Amino acid sequence: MTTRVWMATVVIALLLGAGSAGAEPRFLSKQYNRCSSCHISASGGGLLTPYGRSLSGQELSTTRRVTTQPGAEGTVSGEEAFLYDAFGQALGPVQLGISLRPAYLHYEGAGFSDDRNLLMNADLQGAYRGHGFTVYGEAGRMPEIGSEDAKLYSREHWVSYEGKRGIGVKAGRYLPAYGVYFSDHTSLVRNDLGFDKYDQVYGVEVSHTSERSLLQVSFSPGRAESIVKDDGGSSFNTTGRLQVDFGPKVVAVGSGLYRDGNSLEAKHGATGGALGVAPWKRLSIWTEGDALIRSNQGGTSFVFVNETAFEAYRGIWVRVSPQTRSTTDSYPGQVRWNIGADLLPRTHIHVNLDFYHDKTHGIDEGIKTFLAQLHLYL
Amino acid sequence: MTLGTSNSGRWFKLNCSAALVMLLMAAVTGAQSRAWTVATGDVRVTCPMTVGGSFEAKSSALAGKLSVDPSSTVLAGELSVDLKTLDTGISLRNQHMVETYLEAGKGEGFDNATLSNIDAGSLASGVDGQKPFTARLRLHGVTQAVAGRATLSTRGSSVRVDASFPVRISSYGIAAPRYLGVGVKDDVTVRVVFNATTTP
Repeated sequence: MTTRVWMATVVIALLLGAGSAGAEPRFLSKQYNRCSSCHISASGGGLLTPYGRSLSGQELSTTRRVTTQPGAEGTVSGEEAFLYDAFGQALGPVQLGISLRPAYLHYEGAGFSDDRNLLMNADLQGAYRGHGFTVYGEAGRMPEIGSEDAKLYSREHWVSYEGKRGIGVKAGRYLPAYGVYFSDHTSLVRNDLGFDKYDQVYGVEVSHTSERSLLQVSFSPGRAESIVKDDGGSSFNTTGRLQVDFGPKVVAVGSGLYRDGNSLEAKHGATGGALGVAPWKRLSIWTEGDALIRSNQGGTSFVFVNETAFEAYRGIWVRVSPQTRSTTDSYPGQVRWNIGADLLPRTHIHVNLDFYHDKTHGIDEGIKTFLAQLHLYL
Repeated sequence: MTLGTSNSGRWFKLNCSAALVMLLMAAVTGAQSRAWTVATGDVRVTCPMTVGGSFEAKSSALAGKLSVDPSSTVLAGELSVDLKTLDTGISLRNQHMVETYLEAGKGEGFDNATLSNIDAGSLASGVDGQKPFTARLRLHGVTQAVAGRATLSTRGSSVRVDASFPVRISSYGIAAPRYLGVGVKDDVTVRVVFNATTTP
């Protein structure tokens, strides 16, 4: 591929915006080693649980420190609730959330530059929980991609059941669990391995959760968008992810995936491991390394991502994330530096500021990108 | 003289008694009766969550003094931790744990967790090694027996103890911790690690 194609790939990935309300692995430093405390999905991201909503206000934001009593039937109230509690208790067991993410993007390199304002996300998320079942759905706006206009679509919709012994089953459209679910979908371990924001599958996931471990295994006939569009890109794929908690602040993850070949991409697989440690209550360090194995002489490339996040002051985080991908005969290597800040000034207000420097092997000039996002979770 | 003889005999008996007491004291001292005073240490309580995973409540406010008497397997004295100093990393969780569930503000019997009647078997033949132990834990105003394992190691004039034992919180009259659908399971694990200075 040419220089411009690779640069365009990086830019398009950023232009297409962030995924759903991000998973936040950095909260390992707060002793949250599972996503399910704060998110409906055990894989993280998306709709917050009442506990997650409460935490957003009372523990994570800079200015909100007032402890409110939970409302009736264990629901949150006040500014932590859906639309600032506009519906009171009228929604009953149904939980809703609105995720809006206006953004500004500037990039430059290889003799061109551009900047633009865009709406990355405008999603309504909802869930019902009862008797061990969870019914989950998202509806939102998919921004224009190439010649396709913006459209209404659902990133995830699924039904799950979790038994009392920790065994669960999920069926529907979801992003398969693999590695660390970094909130930045352009992270090399997400983007390169096919876990970007439009890479959900239709499938079935079987899981087992315990105090010390979480196992998730997914089987799918193909990527959801390929099945919907019948573009020839759907083929059997399976993923497995095992998380072992060596303590509240030390987590290890092992993952594997296999995707059968189809008319759009060759058969490939990946395997890797990740380690998350929080040596201090304001510091979390996640490191993931994977081998991406391609058939048809595509070669094997190794992908590495580290994300070190430090809470400088309550609600003010700084992040450093070095990332690399090794070179194969068909794919050039890449080195990325991502430096970012996350500001959480008030309940459900999240400002992301990110600077990226991407350098592709064999290309002299790198590409610099600045991305500012305002994430409102209402 | 009779009086003198009588006084002399009484004086002799008194001297003999004093000598016997001193001899006994010397014997006890010779059998290495020692006091362990906690110099540094911490308590870590691992709390498994109902949604999977766990968090840890930690305090370094561990204090106490134990007396090792070779004639008994039970250590005299107690170890205690100020429950208000327990830290889970976030204030909301601290507040709920200390105020709502441990009710540390209720005063004596609630403000500290105290471990006493620690029985690690005979230490006469040596302190070092891993040993099962039993003890009495007072928590939330309730005293219950606990049992666990401890690893003891001596270095010069200090001893390091690393002990852990399970605690069923409902046994201590503590309400099941629940907040907005997320809770702590009934069985938590307590780990006590301390360095103590030893003195005769």
